[in-house]
Amino acid sequence: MDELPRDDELLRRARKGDAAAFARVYERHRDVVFRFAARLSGSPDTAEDVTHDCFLALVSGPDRFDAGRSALRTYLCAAARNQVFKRLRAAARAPGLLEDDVAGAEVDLPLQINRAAAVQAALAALAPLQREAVVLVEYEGCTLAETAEITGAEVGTVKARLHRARAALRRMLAAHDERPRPRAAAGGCHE
Amino acid sequence: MSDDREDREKDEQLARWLREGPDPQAPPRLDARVSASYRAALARPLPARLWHARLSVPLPVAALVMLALVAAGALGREVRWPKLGGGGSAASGLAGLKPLAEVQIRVASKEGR
Repeated sequence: MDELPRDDELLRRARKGDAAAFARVYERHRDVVFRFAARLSGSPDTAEDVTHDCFLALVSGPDRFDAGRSALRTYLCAAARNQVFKRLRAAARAPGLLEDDVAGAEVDLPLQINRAAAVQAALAALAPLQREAVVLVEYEGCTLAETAEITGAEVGTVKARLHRARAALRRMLAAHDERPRPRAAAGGCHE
Repeated sequence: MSDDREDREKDEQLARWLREGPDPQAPPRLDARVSASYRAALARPLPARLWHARLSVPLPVAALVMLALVAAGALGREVRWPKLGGGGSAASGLAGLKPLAEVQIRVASKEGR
């Protein structure tokens, strides 16, 4: 059986101008980087820019990826995280936005939205550092150690963020499920 | 322990809720955009690639190089004699110098006496 070329080998070739090698690296990791950036930023447009910049930096910037230290997926997620947070800080004009003591704003989720939309709204209401822990562990299947590596935090810190995030999500989503639905008006609106 | 089991069940329920709804999908235009940027980045002319190139050097090495450059500059300035007079060398500038016939030493006090 043919062995798939390793990421660092493909990357080395891509940096020398091998477009096919670059395409393979990109196709391997595009979805995880985009999904992570989209859920973390809450914006598909931001995720698109971040994904573009992360892959381009792999070949046009200084060669900072060290295959001996981390997997390319971990490296790319860390790069995407930095870019998303840079944009969030710029948009919020709040340098302390990414502190652990920043609490998310738990919100009353609108009753009209379905569970999937409620999940998105609840996720968006979390503090950024809690949101990234949930996204990496629950959606991307990262271990606590991988999440710690991507976020540059201790495993214990990640655990604590995850615990607080899950509790907040449960409260918001349970409240959304339990609140009585308003009865539809006669001849109600339609899409 | 029942608390642990309860927590696990709650986490599993939350995980199920979180997975409701579709995953965000990268738009097809992103592939074309990344591919075009890759080609543009790799197709830069040599001067542009050199201009954008970065050299990573450990700080102590950078400090030593800077120190060596400063020392070389200072040394170069020290050995280059200033030109005397109309432009002859230092040796030719001293050629016309004659020793004084008599040297009178006078000690003056602070008050000028």
